[in-house]
Amino acid sequence: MKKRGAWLPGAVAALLLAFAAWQLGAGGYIYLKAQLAQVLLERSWRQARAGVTDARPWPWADTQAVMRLRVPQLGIEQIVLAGVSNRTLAFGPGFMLASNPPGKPGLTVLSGHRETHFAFLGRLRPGDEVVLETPDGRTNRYRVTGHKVVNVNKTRLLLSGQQRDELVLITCYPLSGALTLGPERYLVFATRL
Amino acid sequence: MAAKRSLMNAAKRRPRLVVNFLTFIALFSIIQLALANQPAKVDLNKLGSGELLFLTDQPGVFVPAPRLSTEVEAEISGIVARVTVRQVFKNETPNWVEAVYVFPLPEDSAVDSLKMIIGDRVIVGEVRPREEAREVYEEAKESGRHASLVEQERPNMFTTSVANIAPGQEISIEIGYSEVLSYDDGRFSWRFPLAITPRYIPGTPKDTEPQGGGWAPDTDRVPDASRITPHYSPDALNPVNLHLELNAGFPLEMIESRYHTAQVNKEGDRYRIDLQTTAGKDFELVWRPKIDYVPAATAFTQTVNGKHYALILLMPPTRERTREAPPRELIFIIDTSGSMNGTSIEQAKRALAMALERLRPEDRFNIIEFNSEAHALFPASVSAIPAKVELAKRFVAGLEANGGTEMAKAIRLALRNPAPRGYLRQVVFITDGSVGNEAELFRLLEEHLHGANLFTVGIGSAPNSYFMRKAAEFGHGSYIYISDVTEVGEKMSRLFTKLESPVLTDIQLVLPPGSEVYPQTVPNLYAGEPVVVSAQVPTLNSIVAIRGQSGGEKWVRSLNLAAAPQGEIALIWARAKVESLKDAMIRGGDYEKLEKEITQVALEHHLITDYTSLVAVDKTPARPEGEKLETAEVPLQVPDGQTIAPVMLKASPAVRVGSLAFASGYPTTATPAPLRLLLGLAALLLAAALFFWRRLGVAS
Repeated sequence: MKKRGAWLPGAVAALLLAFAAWQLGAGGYIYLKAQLAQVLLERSWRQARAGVTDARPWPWADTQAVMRLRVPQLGIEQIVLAGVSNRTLAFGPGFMLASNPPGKPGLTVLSGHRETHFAFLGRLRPGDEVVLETPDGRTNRYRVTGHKVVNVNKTRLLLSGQQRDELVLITCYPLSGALTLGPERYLVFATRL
Repeated sequence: MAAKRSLMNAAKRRPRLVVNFLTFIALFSIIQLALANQPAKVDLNKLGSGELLFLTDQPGVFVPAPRLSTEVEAEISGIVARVTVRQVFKNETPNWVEAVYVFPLPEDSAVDSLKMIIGDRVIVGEVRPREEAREVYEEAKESGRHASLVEQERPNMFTTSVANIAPGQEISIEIGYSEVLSYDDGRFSWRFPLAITPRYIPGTPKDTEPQGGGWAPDTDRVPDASRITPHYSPDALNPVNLHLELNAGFPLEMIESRYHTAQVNKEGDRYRIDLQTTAGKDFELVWRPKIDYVPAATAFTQTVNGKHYALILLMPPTRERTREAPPRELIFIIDTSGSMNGTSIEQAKRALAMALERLRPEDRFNIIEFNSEAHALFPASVSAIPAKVELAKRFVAGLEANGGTEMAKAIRLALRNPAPRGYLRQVVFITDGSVGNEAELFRLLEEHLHGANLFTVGIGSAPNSYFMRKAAEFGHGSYIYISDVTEVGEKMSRLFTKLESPVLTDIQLVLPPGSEVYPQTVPNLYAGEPVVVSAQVPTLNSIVAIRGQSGGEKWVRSLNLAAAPQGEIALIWARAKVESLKDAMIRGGDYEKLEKEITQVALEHHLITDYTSLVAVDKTPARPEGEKLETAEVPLQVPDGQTIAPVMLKASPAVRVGSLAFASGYPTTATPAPLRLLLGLAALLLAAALFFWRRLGVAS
C-alpha cells in the first residue's frame, strides 16, 4: 500500500511547485516589466525631447512617451505614455488622449496601475507638488488639492468645455490589499501653479 | 498506540487528501484565470477635450418610452425592392406621450411614403420642405392632434416623431421605400439594417441648445450630433418581424439568410422568407441565379407624367488576365476605436492578418492604426519582405480597441507622402464607419487621394453603410462587409480579386440627346460588379450603348429600351439624382443652388431628403386641453457584440448638466500581480507542508 501511493504526494508537491513558479513568475513579471519598460522609455523620451515626433520605445509599440511625471517630495520620476489601454499601462502611467495636454487650458488626466507606477498616489498629500514635463521642454507645475474615491458605476467622468487647468491622477481603489478589479477609483486632484 | 492509530487514519485519508489538494489547485487556477482575463468593464473613451466634471448618484429625469415593435414587408422583383416598414408605438405609460425614434434604413433607400394608422383610420403623409414639415408637425402637436413626422438625418439614418399618443393607445407609422438590389460576384443581395452602431462625434461642443435628444451635444464639426446619437437601453429588445417575397425572375441556385436563421419557403417561382428577431444586427439575404440564367444586361422602364425613365444593369466582361498587375503600395488603415470593441476588432484583426498573407514581395505596404490618435507602423511604406510582414503581424495581433474615432487624422497620415514612383497606391480601410462627420471625411478623401484607390471593409453587426459605400465611391474603389468572423476568409479573398485591377474603366454611356443619366460619371468597375445607371430619356424607343476599356481593349454593349419590361423605377432615378447633387455639394458646388434643385426633385417625386420630410397630421384634436404631453426618446437595442459606454445608455443614473460634452469610461488601473503572488505563495506553502508531512510520515 505504501508503495502504490508513494508517488502521489511527490507529484502533488511538484505540481504545486510548478504552479507556484508560474504564479510567482507571472506576478513578478508584471513588476519587472513595469520597471524595465521605464528604462526603455527613457530612450524614447530623450528622442521625443530631441524632436523625434514618432519616438517609439520598441519598434512594434503602439504608444510612445509623451511626458515625464515628477513628484519631488516622493522622489518619483516616471515616463508617461500615450493612451490608457491595459497594454500601455503595463509599461508606464498613461495620458488619457482625449483630455488636454498640459500647458493648454483644460484638464489633464493621467492614470496608472495601483500596484506599480501609481502605488504612490496614496502618499500624495494636499500641498505636494506634481510636475509634468512636455517634450518641448516646458515644465508644468501643479499643487495637490485633495483626493476622492468614486464608484465607476455611479459616477461618470465627463468632459465639458470649461476652461480650468487641473490635473487628475487616477488609479484603482482600494490602493492595496485588493486582489481583484473593483468598481472604485482613487482620484487625486491638483491645480496648476 | 494513539499515535499509531492517528497515523493509520492519516494513511487511510491520504488518497482523499491528494484528491482534495488537486481539486484545490484546479479551483485556484480557475479563479485565477477568470480574474486575470476579466475584461475591462468600461473602457470606451469617447472623448472630446475640456474639463472633467463628476456627477454623482442623482437620478436622471426620464420619461418612460412607448414600446416599439417593427414589421418589415419587402417585395423584391427583378432588381428592385419595395419595402414597407411599420413601426408600432404602444404607449403603456399613464401619460400622453410624443415618441421620438431614430432608426436605420439602407443608405440608398428612396423613401416616398408615410402612413399613420390609428385604429382603423389611415392618414397619408405628404412631402414638404424640412422646416415647413417641422412647423406643420409642431403646430399639430401643440394643438393636441395626432401627428407624425419622418426626417432624414443621414441617407441611412432617419427619425420618426409621433405626437399625442394617448395612455394605452397604439399608433402605427408605415414608411415605404424603394431601392436597387446590390449585385456582386454573381449574387444578388438585399441588406436591411436593424441596428445603429454609436457614432463618434468629433469637434468642440457648441453652447447652443441641442437640436435633438441624443447623448452627444452638437459640435462645430457635427452640428447635428444630438440628432444622430440615440440612447440605448441595456435591456431593450426591439422585436422585428420580417416578411419577404422574392420574385427573382430566374431559377435560383442558392438562397441564404447570412446572419439570421430565417424560414425560406418556395412557392412556384417565388420565395417567401419569414423571420422573427430583434434589432441587434443587420439582415442580409443573398441569392444566386443558376449559371445559365446569369443576366448579362437587364433594363426596366417606366413612364410617369409623360416622362420616361429607365434603369439599366449591365454585367461587365468576365476578366481575362491580359497584363500583370503593376506593383502596388497597399496602405491598410485599421480602426481601433472604442466602437470596434468586442467582436468587431477580432473580425478586423483577422481580416488584416489575412490581407498581410496575400502581399507579394514586390508590393510595398504600411499599416495605420487609429483611435483618438493615428499611428503608422512604418514611417513610410516598406517592401513586403517576410521580416517586415512578420513584424506587421505582431503589431496587428497586439491591437486593442479603445478611444475615439479620429478618422481624419488616419486619412491624412495614410496619404501624407505621395505614392512611390511606379507603384499603384491602394488604400484598404477596415472600419465600422461609426462617425458622425461623414461629409467632412468624404471631402478630405476627395482632396487627398490623388488618384489612389480606396477600398472599404465594413466590420461588425451594424456598420455605417453610408460611409462604407460613399467613401469607396469617392476613392474610386469598392467595398465589402464582414459581419461575422466566419466569413472573413471568403470576403477578403473577394476583396483581393477586386484589388488586382479594375475590369472596366473609362466607362461612357451613349444615350439619346436630351437624356439625364445618374451617376453622371460611372466609376471603374471591379471584378464581379455591374454597371447600374438610371436615366430619364426623351423616348423609350431608343438604344442605349455602354462603352469602356477592359484589359486594354474596347468593350461595347447596347440595349434596346423598347424591349425592356416595366418597373417602378422613376423613384430610383430621382433618388440617384438627389445623390448626385449631394455629391456635387461635397465636392464644393454652389450649396444654395444645389439645395434648391434637391428640394425640387424631392417634392416632385415625393422623396425624403436632407431638405424634405414627410408629415402626416390628423384633423381633430385628441389630447384634451390641460393634459401634459411628454417627449420620450425610444431607446435602441444594443447592437450585437458591442459594448456601449454608460453615457449612451438611457437607464444611466447620471443626468446631463448644462452643455456637457463627452463622457468617458474609467481606465482599468489594477493588475493581477498581487493575486498571482498570493496564489504562488499559497502553492509554495502547500508544497512545503506536503513535503514536511511526507517526511514526518516516512520518519515514523
